[in-house]
Amino acid sequence: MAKGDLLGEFELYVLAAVQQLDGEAYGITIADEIERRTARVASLGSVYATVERLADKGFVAFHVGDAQPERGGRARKCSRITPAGRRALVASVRAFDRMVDGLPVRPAATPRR
Amino acid sequence: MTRAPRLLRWLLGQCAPRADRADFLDDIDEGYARRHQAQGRVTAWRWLAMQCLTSPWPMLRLRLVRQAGDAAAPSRDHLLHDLADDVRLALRLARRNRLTTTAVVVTMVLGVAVTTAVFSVVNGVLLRPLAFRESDRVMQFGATMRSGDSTMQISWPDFQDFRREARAFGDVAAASLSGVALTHGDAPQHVLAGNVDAAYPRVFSTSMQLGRYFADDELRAGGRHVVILTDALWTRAFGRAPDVVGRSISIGGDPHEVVGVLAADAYLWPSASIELLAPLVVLPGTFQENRGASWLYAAGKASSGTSLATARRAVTAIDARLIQSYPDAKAGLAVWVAPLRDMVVGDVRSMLILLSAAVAALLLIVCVNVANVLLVQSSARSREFALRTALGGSRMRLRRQLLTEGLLLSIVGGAVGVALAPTLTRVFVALYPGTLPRGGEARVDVTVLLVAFGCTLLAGVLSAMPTMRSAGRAVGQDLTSGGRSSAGLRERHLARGLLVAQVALSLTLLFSAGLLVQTFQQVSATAPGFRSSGLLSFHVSPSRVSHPDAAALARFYRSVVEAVESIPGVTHVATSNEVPFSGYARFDVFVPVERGDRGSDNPQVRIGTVSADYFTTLGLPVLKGRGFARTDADSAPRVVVINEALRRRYYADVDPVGRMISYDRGAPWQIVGVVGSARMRGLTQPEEPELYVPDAQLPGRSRYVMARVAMTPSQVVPQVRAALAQLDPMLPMTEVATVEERMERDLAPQRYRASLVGSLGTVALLLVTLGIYGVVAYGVTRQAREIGIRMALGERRGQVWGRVVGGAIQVAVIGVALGLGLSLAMERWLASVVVGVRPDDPITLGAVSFGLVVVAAAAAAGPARRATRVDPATALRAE
Repeated sequence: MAKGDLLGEFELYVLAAVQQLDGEAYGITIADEIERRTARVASLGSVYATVERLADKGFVAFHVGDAQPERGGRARKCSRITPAGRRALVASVRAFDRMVDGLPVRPAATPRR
Repeated sequence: MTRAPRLLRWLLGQCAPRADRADFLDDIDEGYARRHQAQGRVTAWRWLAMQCLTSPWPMLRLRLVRQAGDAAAPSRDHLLHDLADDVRLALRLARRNRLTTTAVVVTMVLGVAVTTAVFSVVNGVLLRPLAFRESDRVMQFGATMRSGDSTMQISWPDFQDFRREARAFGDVAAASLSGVALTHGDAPQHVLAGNVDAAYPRVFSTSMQLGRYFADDELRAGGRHVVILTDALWTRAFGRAPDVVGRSISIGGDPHEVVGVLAADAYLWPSASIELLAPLVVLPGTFQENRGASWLYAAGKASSGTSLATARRAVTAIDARLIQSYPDAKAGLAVWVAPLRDMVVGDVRSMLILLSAAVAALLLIVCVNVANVLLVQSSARSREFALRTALGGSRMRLRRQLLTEGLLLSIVGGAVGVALAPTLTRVFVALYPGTLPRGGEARVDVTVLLVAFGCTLLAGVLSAMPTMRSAGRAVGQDLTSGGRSSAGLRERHLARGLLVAQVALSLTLLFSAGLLVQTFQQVSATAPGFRSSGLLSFHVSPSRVSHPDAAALARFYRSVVEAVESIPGVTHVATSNEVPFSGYARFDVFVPVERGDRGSDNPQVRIGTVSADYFTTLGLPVLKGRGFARTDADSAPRVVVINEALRRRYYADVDPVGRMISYDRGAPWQIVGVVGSARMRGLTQPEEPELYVPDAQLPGRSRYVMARVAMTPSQVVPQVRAALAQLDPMLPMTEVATVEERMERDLAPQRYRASLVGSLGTVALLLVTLGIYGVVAYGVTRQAREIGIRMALGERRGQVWGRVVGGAIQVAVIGVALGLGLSLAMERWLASVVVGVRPDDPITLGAVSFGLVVVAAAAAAGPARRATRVDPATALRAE
């Protein structure tokens, strides 16, 4: 596996959030998703920069979301995970799993093969 | 829907790339609104603040990456690219106009270097906290005397009352200073000792590097003779010998055991020059126990959480009670506390603030001058600007270019200035007469660098601003008119406005300098009350071993007087416990017998213990009765002489001669004469009431010797030294100086101020002259055609000359008017630094104003003469 395919920590969070949100992923929803799941406040600026980087790598693609009436009818630029992105996510999570396998950090250390 | 606060929102929006800005702000709003709704305002704010801290940097980076990626596509936002272009252009321009560049950079270097150096002194001395733990909680006691002067000493009973009653203080320490003769090795030396109590290490967070602090029983009267060395003395006299603790050293002839060495960074109090600590012992039954005798330094450490105001109130309240209980002893003596730092810095404060103001003014003048040069240069480039605008260059872009040029010059100037600053700082500190308190702490540190950087940027922006303003406007017409006729008018107006500001600031600076020079002259012309020329003085403190008692001391002093008198050229010799401007003074209570002894509530007076020839030697006139004679010896009737200031206070209507007084609770003394008053503390200090006692009737451990010499006093120093060595080879002869030298030292702060502000004023004047010259000369060049036409139409050369010079004078007069207002506004503040001169002295103001107008006219005269030489035909043909 090429080294560039592995995701950085925050990239991993963002990419995972994009997939979790399933088509409804844009700046604030991504940031909130990360905050909800990791209990850490995500910087919106970093989310923007990271999504941009992920798009450059071909891991996410943009599409225009549904117009939202409460936002003055403006349509949002939403991100969706690409097949390449999904592969990178899986590869990164596996690599991470293998790294911590056997360490006392995970009581239920059952590698998902 | 709730929106995020507008200002933060706007700031965040500025960081986002243009394409994402709307989305980003929507997101911010949404996130803020959701939190606001669900968790309340505070959480929403916290989140927003977090975003403001974390988001700008990634957004800005994203923005730059975008731009770099889009470099091929046309964009309005090529920040980095543009910057490189701007810098390149600015450098090319700077190389082409070498003269202007040099002038601007040199001016900037001057401004930044002087500002940085002065700020580093101000920072080190005034702003940084003292170098020990919790120093900001330590306050020193002081008292205001009847004369309005302040003293840093209070009395022992007062100290005890404050220590007992002031709950605002956790600990209160007391100390006194004494000069002692330390005999170690071959040469005896005079060192300053601090007599300290048990609270000293707690108040000043002092630690020891060797041994221990004084034990409680050593701090009591009659305790063992022990001392603690400072790091300096340990190094200087003992070569940092590790076994110094436990050694016995001779102080004043008595053996003292060294019990410890203070840590190298220990804070030394009450004077930074103490080298030795000894226990503070208050002898019962002496003047030390009197409430009227202020001889003790006291400093308290406020309990944590106690504010300065609270501590002040507490001390004032206790003092008010004391004044009620002891109205006589405390008459006109009000005790207060102030932060220790303020007390340490003391008199220098006003001087440093003055200096900062002067330097700020100079920096502004520098900016104005550079701005003018840039403005003049830019008006010559109006065609370039016009062309750029015509070809589609935005004004914003043009302004940015000009800002870059200004900043580039200021940054080069600033860098050189900062490089020079440490040297300059050392020069400022070294130039200071005597020792600048905390002067050693003045250095260029991070704060100073930040300030210097700020000054540099400010100077760059300020000096580029006028050009940016003028270049942005109506550039179009320059292209057609070829920048010949009216286009330069706006710049010239602006340039004149800047000149006005410059003249106003210089006037204020020169006026302050003028006042300070006059203060110096006034003070040096003050009659001290004695004849200061031809007087040599030095200090001796004979050891207890070779001169154990009063009789031996009296014999020894007499032999010193005789030995010095026999030196050719010496006419009179006297010994005394004081010498003019030494800072040393002894005070004691003074009780006219008619008033009766009021116990611990007696007024205090300065005591001079002097030998028979003292008044003759010093040149103090005997106004009534007689001075002392050699017959006023130990066995003779006890007599005193009072000075005129003391007579005025207690014997205003009666003849004091023949009256009895007591001052040491012993048998009464008879007043036999009145002598003229002298300013013993310094020329700016008042004449103090003083009581003189014959040396022979009250000899002390150490004495000043004064000799009146018919030639230059310093010439006899070797003979005096030899004579003393013959009498007692182990006796150190210290503080050798002529009284005139002492007077010089006393005057030095005034001289320092006057010369520093004076030289800043001179630099300002020079800059103003250059500024006026530059603007007028440039105006003449630009107006050559107009002048030519006018002359062709019959204007005479004199009229041309008058118009040019008149213009400059007009500018100067407006500037002077503004400067007068500014100077008068500073009046109250200047009052604190001038002596003997009115802070709104009309003569100085008038002279400086007139001088500036003359300088303006003179600066314009040269270019004006060139204007009259314009040949109408040539000027017209040149079009």
